Amino acid sequence: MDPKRWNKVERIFHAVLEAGESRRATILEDSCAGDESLRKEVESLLAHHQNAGTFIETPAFEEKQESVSPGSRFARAAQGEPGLTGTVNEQYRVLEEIGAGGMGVVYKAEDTKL
Amino acid sequence: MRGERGGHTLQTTALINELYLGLTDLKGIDWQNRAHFFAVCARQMRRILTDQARARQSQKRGSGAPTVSLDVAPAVSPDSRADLIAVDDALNELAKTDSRKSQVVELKFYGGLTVEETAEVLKVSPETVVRDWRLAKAWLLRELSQEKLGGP
Repeated sequence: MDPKRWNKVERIFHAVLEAGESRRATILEDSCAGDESLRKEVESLLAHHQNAGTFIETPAFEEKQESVSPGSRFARAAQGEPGLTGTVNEQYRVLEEIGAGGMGVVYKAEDTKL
Repeated sequence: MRGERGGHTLQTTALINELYLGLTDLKGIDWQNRAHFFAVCARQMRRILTDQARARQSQKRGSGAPTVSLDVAPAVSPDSRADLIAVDDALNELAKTDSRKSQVVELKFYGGLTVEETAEVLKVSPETVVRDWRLAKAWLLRELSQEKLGGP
């Protein structure tokens, strides 16, 4: 996109977001002044803004640790950490760890609903 | 969650070591000030994490051997971890039209800086950082969701 158009998109994007809920549609309509593709572009960005949630809010180096799963549970188990043993959820009481690998841990559990 | 801490610290230490090694490699860099230092660290962190993600990907894909993927889940969901390779590519794209927004993401997301620190590095107001961040996030998310209508 050429910088001029991008500046326009940016201006309208912020103007809409910073306006009160009731005025948003009008501001979008007026600012785009019949430029359909401009309106679509801003609308699409606004929609993604709505859905953005916590996207990239956690710094990458912390995210990485969450996502690097290989061995992490395994390492934990190897260190003798308790993992899920002894925990209870709606249906299961976790009795003991049976085994662990790079992808996960297998537990023996009791079905409390049976 | 209980065990998270141990692994976390270990990996953070390894990352900082790598960051430090990378920085000491950058001979002849003229450290202008604290802000410049943060900017270089964030850039370096981005490189390390992207390289690591690439290495993991090529391992997973068997270094080019043809594979059939069972992984049909989309790469992005709003609350999930971002695909670091895709983020890196998208940021390069963003930088072509709006380098400041790309820098804001680099400093905040890769450098872990706060809004105020990012503002200090870029010599803009915190309000500008907040706005840049908001738009950059929406744009990046769309870019990563492959629903592009035409980006910058």
